[in-house]
Amino acid sequence: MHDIARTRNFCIIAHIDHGKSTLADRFIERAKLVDRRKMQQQMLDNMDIERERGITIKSQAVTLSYVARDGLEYTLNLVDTPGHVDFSYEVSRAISSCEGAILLVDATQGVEAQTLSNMYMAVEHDLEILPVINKIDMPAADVDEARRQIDRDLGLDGDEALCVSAKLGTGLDELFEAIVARVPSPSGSREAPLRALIFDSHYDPYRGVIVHIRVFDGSIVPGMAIRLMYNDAEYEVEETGLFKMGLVKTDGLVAGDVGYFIAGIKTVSDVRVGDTVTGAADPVAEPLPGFREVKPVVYSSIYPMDTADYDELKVAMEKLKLNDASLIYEKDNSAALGFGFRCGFLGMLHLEVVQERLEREYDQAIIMTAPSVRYRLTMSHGGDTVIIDNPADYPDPSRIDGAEEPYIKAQIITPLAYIGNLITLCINKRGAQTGFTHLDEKRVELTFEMPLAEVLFDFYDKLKSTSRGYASFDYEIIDYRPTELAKLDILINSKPVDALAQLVYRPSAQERGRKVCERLKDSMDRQQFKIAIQAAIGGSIIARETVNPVRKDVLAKCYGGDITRKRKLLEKQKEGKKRMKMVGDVELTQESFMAVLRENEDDDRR
Amino acid sequence: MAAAPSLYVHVPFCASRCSYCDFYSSTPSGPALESAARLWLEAIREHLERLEPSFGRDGFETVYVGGGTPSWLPGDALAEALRLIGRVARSGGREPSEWSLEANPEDVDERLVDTLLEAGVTRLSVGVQSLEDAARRLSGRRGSAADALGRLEGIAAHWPGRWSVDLMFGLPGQSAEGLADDARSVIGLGAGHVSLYELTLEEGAPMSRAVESGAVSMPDDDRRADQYEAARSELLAAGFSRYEVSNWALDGQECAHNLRYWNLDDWLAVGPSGVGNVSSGPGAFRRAANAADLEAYCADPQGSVSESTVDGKDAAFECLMMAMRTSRGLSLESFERRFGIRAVDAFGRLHERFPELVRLDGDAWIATDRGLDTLNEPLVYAMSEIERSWDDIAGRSVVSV
Repeated sequence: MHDIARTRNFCIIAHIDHGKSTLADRFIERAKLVDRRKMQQQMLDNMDIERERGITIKSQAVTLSYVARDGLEYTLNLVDTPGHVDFSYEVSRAISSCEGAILLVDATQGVEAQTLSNMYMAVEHDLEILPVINKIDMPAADVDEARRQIDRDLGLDGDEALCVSAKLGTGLDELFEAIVARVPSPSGSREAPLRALIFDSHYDPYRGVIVHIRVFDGSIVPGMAIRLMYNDAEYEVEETGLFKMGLVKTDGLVAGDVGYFIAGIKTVSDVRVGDTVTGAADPVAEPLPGFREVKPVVYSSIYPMDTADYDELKVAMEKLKLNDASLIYEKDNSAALGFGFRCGFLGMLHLEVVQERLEREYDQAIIMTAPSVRYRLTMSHGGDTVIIDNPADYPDPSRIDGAEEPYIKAQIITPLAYIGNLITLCINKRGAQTGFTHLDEKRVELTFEMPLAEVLFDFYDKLKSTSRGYASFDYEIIDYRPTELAKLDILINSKPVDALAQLVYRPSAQERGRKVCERLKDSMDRQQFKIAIQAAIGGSIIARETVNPVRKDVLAKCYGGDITRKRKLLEKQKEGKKRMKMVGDVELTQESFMAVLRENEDDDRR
Repeated sequence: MAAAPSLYVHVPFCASRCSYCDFYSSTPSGPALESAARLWLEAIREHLERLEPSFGRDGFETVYVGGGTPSWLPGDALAEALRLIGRVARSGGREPSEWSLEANPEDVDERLVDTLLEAGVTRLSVGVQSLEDAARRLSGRRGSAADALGRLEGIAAHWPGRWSVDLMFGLPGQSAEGLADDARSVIGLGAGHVSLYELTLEEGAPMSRAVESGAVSMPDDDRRADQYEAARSELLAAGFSRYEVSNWALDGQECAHNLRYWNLDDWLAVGPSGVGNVSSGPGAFRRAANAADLEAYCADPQGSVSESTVDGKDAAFECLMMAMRTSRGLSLESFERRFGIRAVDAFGRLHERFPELVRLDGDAWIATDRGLDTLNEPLVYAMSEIERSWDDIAGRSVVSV
């Protein structure tokens, strides 16, 4: 068994795109855990979507052996954290599993919004922070400026910051040495009762749930009865082990270790990230601090394109849920789309990831309805509070006394040049400015309080386009505030289509209705008859578009040489029809439903 | 005389590429064209010789020389090719009922007319596409509209046979007024046949890339339909009838060769990228596609052919797809004779499902005017139907045999 004094638990924290996963890859490569030839980019990002988007969604861990310059062998446990604001709670749990954090700063970008918020989080958990400047190989790298920003913005010693290129692998030796020298060794006691933090879990179809833990006190060994404190559920440990390039069984895990256990747990939903594992026979009195039940903030319904595929979608959702504890859903029913699921997500990225995984990993053709936040309504009789996230549940407005919606605190760091545009953007999104801090002569930090609903759709894209990619953004949900709410109905040939309805801020309803009608029109193929698209609030129409009947839809020419090809063209059209949804006698494409999802890509182009 | 197959000859040379075109063609010129044309000529000679034992003894019912630009062939090569084609077409003492050749107006002069007449070509198909300069320029057509018009006047004066003009609509730079003028001009000059095509953006054609990049903008659906309707009114007013989706003719001027395609009668094809189709037993076709590559084709014409069989529901669907394009429509009785199944069982009751698009006229399904304009919808429906019904009805028809 290894020596706790020669264990270092650390994570890498950074703003999105600052090279976290690339650095993690280099660590793994250096530790010779994996042959260079077999190395895939971003080894720790297991999902296709993670690799493709370059975003880490789940926390991952890996244990490395490193022989330091003092000639001793150290065990380094690296915990890779998710890189997106949707997953900040997961980040906080990963951080609290460690004694040290590499705070990675992109030499071409400097300190950004998530850099700050991640650092505060690390400081809160008393982590030793090692500032590291990455991407020094890039032509646009400005190491001196990065050092200055680390000094000024983060209050760390910029001169101490190590310089690396995760891409090229330069500066890694110094970094390894710094981890050994500066990250404290874990302090727990092996003899104390078991206390371990669950920082993640994943589902393996053959072995069930694999729980990722950091042991703070005591030990966990196969055969031992354990208790998950929040869930108050007991299990018998079947296996413990370490994360190498795969799972490697051990005789047990002790205080200071990062590893996994398997205990016959059926689904990841039985395991809460942040919960404490203790021994059933000798439980600790208090769980580790910081546990929070993760609550979705965005809701949307998922329906199968073809109502006959509901059962198939159900199976896919169940499988997805096995590995995604933060996805919650219940059965839903739409007049237009049949049976489906009302789902809650941690944020828009989470929603998109679920959508993509359903489509790609589970081959489901799906329709998603407009995302909504959760509103609080106060009813006029008796003053009851009703919580709704689904337009279908919107009560008769005459019975509503008042409505509230969730607000966020948005933190934006931007070069001075874009301040005007960004402030305009935030004000258009109903933001109220609460802070303005000069970080240095070139950059400021803006804080706004604004409705969460306003950042759901395109806020991030607009922020980036308005600032040529230079502004960075982070947010947290703060509270609920009064709002004016209305239900926007969309009618197609005079019939309301429930799946297109959405809850909107009343003063913006007209504009929103107009845009949705326009985008629906653009998304629809012409059909044999005229189609009227209308937006309405209550009984009154607030916007209207017309799709004229098709005039020409025929293969222009077809002669002896291209019969086979023309038949195949029609086959393609026929396959396309499968992705159409009949609403009454009108065919809607999947894009039609997406038209209400994305607010206004066109506006950016204009 | 027993029914003979038809013959298609593909000439893979053009003076320049039109930006919308994705037909197989290359653009050598001068000596390079001379030698390429020679090679091509020897290749089609070899190919025709190889085909002769199986099909050529009774000659060919109709002949169509297309491309590419057949009129762009050097004079000698063209004359020799036509002599060769004429010889095989007339085997067994047959005189083909129709022999068409495609020509660009710029190439038509007295010499060409003489060559064609001497060989026995009966019908000229002239690729005009547009008489609007902007559209010609944007699509890479040779010559100005005025030149093209001048050449058409020459054809009207000197070509004694039937002639047809190809017009396109939906090209960037075209207008509804322009289409009406185009149609009036060619009708006025005496063309008895007009092929009126909508531009199809083919993947890989330079125009598609230009449209994608935003360098060129396409007229929208309504403007395209307006252009079509403008030309259509002129054609109707002049007594033309629409005997196929994109083809208009005065009485008796229909293209017999193309009608054989739409009827899926037998035809052979020589020349690179040509595709032949012959019946191979009840309800099945053998399709022979020549390599779409001059070099590969010339190296071994017969060897370059890839053959495939189209049968079952694919063959039945193709029969519907082709027949419904014509004003004759699909004879339900001949369909049943050909495939041993009833069209309504295979495709559903199209005339009831799409009463505005397909009518039942005696024993035939015939597309209405609107049906010819929006044929894809009933065809796609019919394809879904036959996919659903096929195993069931095909099984039944075997039992009943």
